Amino acid sequence: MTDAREPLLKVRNLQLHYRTRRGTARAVDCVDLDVGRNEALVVLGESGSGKSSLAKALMRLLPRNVARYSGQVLLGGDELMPMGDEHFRSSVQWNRISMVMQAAMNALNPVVRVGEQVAEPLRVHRGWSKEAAMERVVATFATVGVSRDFVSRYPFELSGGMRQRVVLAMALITEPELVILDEPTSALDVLTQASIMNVLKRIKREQGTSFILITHDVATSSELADRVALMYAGQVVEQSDARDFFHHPAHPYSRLLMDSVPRLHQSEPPGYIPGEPPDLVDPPAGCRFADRCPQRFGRCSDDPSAFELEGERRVRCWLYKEGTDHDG
Amino acid sequence: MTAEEPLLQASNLYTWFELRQWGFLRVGSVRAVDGVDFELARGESVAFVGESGCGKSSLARTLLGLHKPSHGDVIFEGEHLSELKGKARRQYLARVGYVQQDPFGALPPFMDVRRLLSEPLIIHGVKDRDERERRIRRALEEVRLTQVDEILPKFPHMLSGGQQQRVVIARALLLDPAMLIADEPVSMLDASVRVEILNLLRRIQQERGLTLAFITHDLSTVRHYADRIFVMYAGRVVEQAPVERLLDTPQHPYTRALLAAIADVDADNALDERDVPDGEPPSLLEPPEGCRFHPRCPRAMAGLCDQQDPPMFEPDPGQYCACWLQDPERG
Repeated sequence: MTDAREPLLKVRNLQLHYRTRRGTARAVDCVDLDVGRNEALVVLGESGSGKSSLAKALMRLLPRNVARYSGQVLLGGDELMPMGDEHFRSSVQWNRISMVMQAAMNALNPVVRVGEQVAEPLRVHRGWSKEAAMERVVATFATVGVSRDFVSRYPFELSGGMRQRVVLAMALITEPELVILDEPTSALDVLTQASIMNVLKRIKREQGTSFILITHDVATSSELADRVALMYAGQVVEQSDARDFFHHPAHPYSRLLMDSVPRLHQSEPPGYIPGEPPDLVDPPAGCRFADRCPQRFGRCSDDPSAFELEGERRVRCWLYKEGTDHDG
Repeated sequence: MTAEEPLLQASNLYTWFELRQWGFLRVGSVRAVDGVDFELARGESVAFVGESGCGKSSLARTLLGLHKPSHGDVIFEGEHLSELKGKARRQYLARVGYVQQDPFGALPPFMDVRRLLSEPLIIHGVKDRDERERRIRRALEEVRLTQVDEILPKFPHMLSGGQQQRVVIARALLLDPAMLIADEPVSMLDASVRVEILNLLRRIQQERGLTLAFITHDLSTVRHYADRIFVMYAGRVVEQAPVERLLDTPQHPYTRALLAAIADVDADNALDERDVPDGEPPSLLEPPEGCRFHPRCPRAMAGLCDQQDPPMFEPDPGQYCACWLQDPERG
């Protein structure tokens, strides 16, 4: 057993680059992350910021055109990167880390009863008997709020919200330490979305699971977040406590992003960020946000490293280098 | 025509889709739009809000004349849409612009921007090439694609999502419409671009004095972009009010549930669970008797809500709500 204060997941300098026709796309570029036990880390980012690639890198679900896959990933103190593929697949993937993929609810096998699909990880990875596995399925369905008679139904008989719960049950069935959720509610309606978030909160509270929630939706992410990591062009530009991030964002991109979030009871209209994110094939040499940044200055043509602020906050911006003048 | 006359009027509108087995046996109807009445004034911006499957897109397509209403009619500038034929019908389509949800799907992939913007002008008889070019340039500048010469030769896949949506809007504006119908215009775009596009639509609407009807599932953005809101549930409008009134004092239990489910960003959100009504919206094949929300409604009254359809009450001037709780005779 490792030190309890040691984070469950520790990621250092993780890189995942893809070969494309135009050159190497740096989808995940030098990412550092920490996820504590029973903590929910929200990875925020716009499309193309590398957040789904980050999830794939952690789960080692890699496409064929990988140009570079390197860095350090520690799960409960165990080094994951040096593990062979076979070993990783049998002991980590879906066992200790599981994932709900984007639009997974539409990827359920239409001709297999949902109960059997949810039982599959137990049957395949752990070799459980059918009876034992089904018993666990019923228990997991109860946790996510699916009635036990749904076990023998087919996916088409279920509504979107129910299918999303089934997919969630599939990720939870092996009782993993860490569950990665990639846009788990973005295809759902407001009310369904709220009830799925309720389920996630309950699971976190009752089972002590850790989550990485990947999303572009700031408002929904605040329903679960303990910490927030904001990605921009393949890098984590700010990582801080949820309260700090939502109420006092530090990085100029974080501030603009928070200003662009519509709020129900706010009289002034939300803002927006002019311009577009850079190309991941040939990102600018300095700070990647500099072109759109209202606060850029001379130093920004050099790549900033992540500066530590108080409250376990890391911000990748020259404004936060000690000794640099800045106003909050 | 008087100034008070509404630009568009939907009267007792029903759009049902018949389901058939083996191609001929009628087995039922999906009641996508099921008795909707409203009037849209010139120069106002309204939002139709509801969850997926509530009939809001079918309503938009009915207003555009893409679906034929099963009952009732759309009256535009005093003319019944069902009676328009041939050239008059084509003219109607020029008067009502359509901004689709998925900009990439809405733009033909094999045409460059110049070609795809010329198309509607050619169809509507603008024969002079220079005139077409002038109007295209003006439309692109209006949607703030100011580097016109760079944009014109590009194909849709070479543009970003935000630029694609601007081209779609420019195309809708080319024929000088009196009204724009935007079906979830920003749901496929990134959060930081959404506001930009919504601001653009609002500005164009105000500058041109257009009527803008936009369809959305996102109540959190409507405050700044609409004057009036219609909340739809299971094929019907359940509440209608000016935007501030609807957001600040919602009356229908469904509107209240929707507003309660929306998170304003706050770290405290993670601490508590939200109140969400049980269940799911009903099937439009066999909607429940009485009020359609009653099976999920926390305040449903047995013997009334499950038997009789509530009419539209007017609890406050300008605010309409189809709910028995608003019945003045109930005391």
